Amino acid sequence: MDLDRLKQDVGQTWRWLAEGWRNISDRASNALTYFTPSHEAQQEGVNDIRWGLLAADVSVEPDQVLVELEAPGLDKEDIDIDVQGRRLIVTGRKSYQAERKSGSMTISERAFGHFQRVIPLPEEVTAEKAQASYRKGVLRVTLPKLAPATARKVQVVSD
Amino acid sequence: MNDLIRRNDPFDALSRFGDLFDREAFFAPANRNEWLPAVDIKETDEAFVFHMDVPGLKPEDLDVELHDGVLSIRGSRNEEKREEDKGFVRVERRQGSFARQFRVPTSSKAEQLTAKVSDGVLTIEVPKSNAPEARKVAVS
Repeated sequence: MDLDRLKQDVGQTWRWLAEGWRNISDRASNALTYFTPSHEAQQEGVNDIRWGLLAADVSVEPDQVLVELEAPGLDKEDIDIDVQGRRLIVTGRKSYQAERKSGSMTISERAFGHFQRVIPLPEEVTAEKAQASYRKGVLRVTLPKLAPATARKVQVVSD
Repeated sequence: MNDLIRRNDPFDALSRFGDLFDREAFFAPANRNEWLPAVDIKETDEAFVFHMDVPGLKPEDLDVELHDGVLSIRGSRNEEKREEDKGFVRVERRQGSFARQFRVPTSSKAEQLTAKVSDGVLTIEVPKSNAPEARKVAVS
């Protein structure tokens, strides 16, 4: 076998591995969110799934920061949003009650309970003017950027 | 001589290791950006009920089919929007499409299959047929 080709092949494999891993860890490690089961759920032993993926996209627009968080199956009332400095903190509760009160589970992959996801913001924002909507299981938060300090013009005087 | 060189070359061992991988299959999830939404399946007296997390998907983005006892759920997201939009500083949400298949008992009433999507959760109900499961066979 041609040794050079072999080396090239191996190099390629490792690059794939590295890229694949980066891709997975970039997406998943951030989105991976711990769910604390509610008291009833714990007592009934209903839910063993404690980790769920809550994927978020953050984009910067000219005058606002837009955060979209996938959080399917929640009640609007069960979502809380808080801004602390450059962090958006979303807490919520995914209730299993309605879906699970009857029947026996065959496959159970979805996590239920309380969760908190902290999303770093790329810029300072005006928290008071933040707006949020929840549609199709996606929470959308718009955060107006903090007004930039007005530039001060200084006249240079000569004496 | 040639043999010796190869044995001392660290790349040689690595390459043999590398050959063990079916690269396409091994790296497929990352490379193809595979998206497999989480599902819960429960059985009640009347039906098999599927709950799948499909945030952001509209009814027209989803395709549910029951054929020969196999329930296929497909969905896709429009990628064009993402391409146009600039200024992303974090991208975790999956784009593209997914497909998951589940075997359900053939006695299910395929024609009474119902599917609806609400708050990003797809609910599918496959009613069970009323035919008794036990069948008595005469011993000859």
